[in-house]
Amino acid sequence: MSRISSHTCVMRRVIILFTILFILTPIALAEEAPQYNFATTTATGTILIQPGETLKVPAIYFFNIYGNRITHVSLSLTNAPEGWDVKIEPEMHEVQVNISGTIVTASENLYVTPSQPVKDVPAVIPEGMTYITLGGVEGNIPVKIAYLNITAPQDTPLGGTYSIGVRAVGSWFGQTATLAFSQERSFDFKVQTVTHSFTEEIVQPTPEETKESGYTTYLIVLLLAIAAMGVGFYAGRKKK
Amino acid sequence: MVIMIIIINEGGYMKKILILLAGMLAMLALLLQPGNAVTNNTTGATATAIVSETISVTLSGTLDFGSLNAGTNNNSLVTPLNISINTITNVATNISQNGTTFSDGGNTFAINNLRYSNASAAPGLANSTTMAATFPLPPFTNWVNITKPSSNTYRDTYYWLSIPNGQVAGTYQASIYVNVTKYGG
Repeated sequence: MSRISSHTCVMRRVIILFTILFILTPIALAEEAPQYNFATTTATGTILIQPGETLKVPAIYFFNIYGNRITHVSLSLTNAPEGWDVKIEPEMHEVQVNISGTIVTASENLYVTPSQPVKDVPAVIPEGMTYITLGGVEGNIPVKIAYLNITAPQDTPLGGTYSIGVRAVGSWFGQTATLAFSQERSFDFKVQTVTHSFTEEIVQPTPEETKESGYTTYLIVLLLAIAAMGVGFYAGRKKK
Repeated sequence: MVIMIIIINEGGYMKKILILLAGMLAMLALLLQPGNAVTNNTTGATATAIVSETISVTLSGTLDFGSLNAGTNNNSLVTPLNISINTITNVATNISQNGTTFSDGGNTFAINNLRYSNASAAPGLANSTTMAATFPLPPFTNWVNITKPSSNTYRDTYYWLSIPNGQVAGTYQASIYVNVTKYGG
């Protein structure tokens, strides 16, 4: 083999070697173990609603600060008062997801990408999102919001307590573009029917009790007065 | 008061003391009447705060059993599924799991061919429970009433899979659901 052709062969081997290293190295560096984080915080306490009213209430906050895979969240109602109109927002819908080059279709209500808390809340916050603070986490955590749209029938009695149940499932795709894991969590929301305007009136007055306590006091005074008279009379007689 | 004046004029030293004492008791009784008593007037208001319930759980691991032969029992996974209850969780929690049928898109075998345990070492498999299609009560004592974590709390799950005799060859998948809920909730 001539010197030139020998040199060319060596160069080809070097080029091939570097090419292999170049392809493999980024994959090796980027491949960390998957972490599937499903984090939730309730966004509301007891929901107060007036009969005939429709409310849109932030119900659950979803976030993903400990994971490195997108969390796909599916929500469903497990319990709702009979005759009430209760919906979850955002509604279930299909999304196209590219998993390592494979396009799959997922059904979900929302998704939560891995994120980190931020020091300052952005001036403009996209709809369906907000920022919250939690003990033990420094900064403001970006969260996605699931809402409950609730309509109470007009003839719902006041002062009643009702329950709305929501099932939340967080899922993650694996390397083969199929679901790797899922986490499930249940939420129970209490709803009370009230009127938003405050009124108060006495319906049935209670019997007065002051006269009774007054009589008792006068009796005590009378007894003590008699005792004082008795002591004085006794003292007078003793002297005699 | 009229009674006191008459008696004092007639009594001696001790008797006067007794008379005065009786008069003081009578005056005390008068002071206890409504309108004369000293009362404490305390008013207040109710402060209300709702602390939100936060649960954060991170799973890591893979449930890839690799290639198995039909008719083999209790093939174990090398590495467990790690369940981490993150420190921001502010309630005590329970853990349970369920799963769906294994399917290759056409052929299936039941999820109860999968067993799981909270330990790999003995009793490990002997202490394992069968995976079901519905969430059971937490099957292991350290999966019940896991106290609110001051740091990340870990629970490992170990799995064993049996392949029924004559199972048709294929790539089978099942979904495993991990349920971490508020203890007592």
